[in-house]
Amino acid sequence: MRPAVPAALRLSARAYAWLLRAYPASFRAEFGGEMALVFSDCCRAAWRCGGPRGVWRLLGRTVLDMLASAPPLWAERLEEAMRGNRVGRGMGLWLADHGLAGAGLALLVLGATAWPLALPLGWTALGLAFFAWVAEADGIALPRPGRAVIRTCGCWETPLAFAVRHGDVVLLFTRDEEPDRGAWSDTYTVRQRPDGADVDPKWELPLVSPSEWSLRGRTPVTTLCFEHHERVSYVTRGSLERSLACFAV
Amino acid sequence: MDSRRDPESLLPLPDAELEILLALVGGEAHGYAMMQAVEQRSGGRTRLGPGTLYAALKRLLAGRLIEESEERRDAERDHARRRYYRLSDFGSRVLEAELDRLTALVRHGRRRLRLSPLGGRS
Repeated sequence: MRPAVPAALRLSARAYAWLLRAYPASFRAEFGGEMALVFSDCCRAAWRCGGPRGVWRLLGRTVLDMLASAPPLWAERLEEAMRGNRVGRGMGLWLADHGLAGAGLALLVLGATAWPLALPLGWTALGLAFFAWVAEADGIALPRPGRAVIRTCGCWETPLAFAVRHGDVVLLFTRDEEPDRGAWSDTYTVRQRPDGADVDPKWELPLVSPSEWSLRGRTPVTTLCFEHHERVSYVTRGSLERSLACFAV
Repeated sequence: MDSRRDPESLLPLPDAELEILLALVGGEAHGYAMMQAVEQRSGGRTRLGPGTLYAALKRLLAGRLIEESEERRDAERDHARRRYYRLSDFGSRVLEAELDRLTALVRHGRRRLRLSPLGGRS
């Protein structure tokens, strides 16, 4: 049995070196060597504790870990490329917002129309859908690239007031009450927080009426896309950029 | 420059990043030592895989919450690729702010459930 130990460890190390290709090249260049080293350490520990079964379990866990950690890094890479104008800005924002889901859908359509390719394409689409789902899962990679954290007191479908950091400035979005209609306005009033303004430290919302804050513009509620997770709310960066572009913040 | 950054702006911290910062409170450590520290602290319930660990380290390094240590504890025994990381001053402030936030949350939850602060029902 003894000679099997180094062989199993060598094989799993080789398998992991292959799995590392799932990460962007720049990330691999910076951390790939260390990750392989850590995986070898884990392998040795798994072998000591559980023999071959322990190593198999570790490999399974590592594949799941790779599926969870690689997509956000690719999304980050896409955003970097977008910033460097290697991808058109509008297209890049759209891809950051909808890229994975769009690619999955395109593959499903292609698979349905070209039956010999249906099975592999179907599996790839399923993989992409899983990547997209994992990237959204709370606690794994938040804040996800392409999403900006918003600070709001409650998880409303469309929050009544929230603050969002945009570059160096903090912007406050509020919906005003319209007593005539008995409803809240369909537009957000956007104000910029002045330096030194008193705000609730947790939510970044003003402690007194923000009417003194400089008015930057108004934007329809429907232009912003929100996502709510258990602990955090997000506004998609694409929709935020598009709505801010209307009044050039 | 970091002294002017607001630690609150980075909250809430993702679980993996919080675990790493907690693991580094005891001093500098390399990746595998951090994984072991997290597993030990959680009694085996939380296991960071290499991908999650290094993706989180990348974000923490970019945010200057941690920094790479130049020295090797045991240069002769350690593999040349093994890097050590330590908590930065700004990282300590962010960790403190996150722990305050979680403490307030727990206190609020216990009060709502009418539990005593030390556990069990009051």
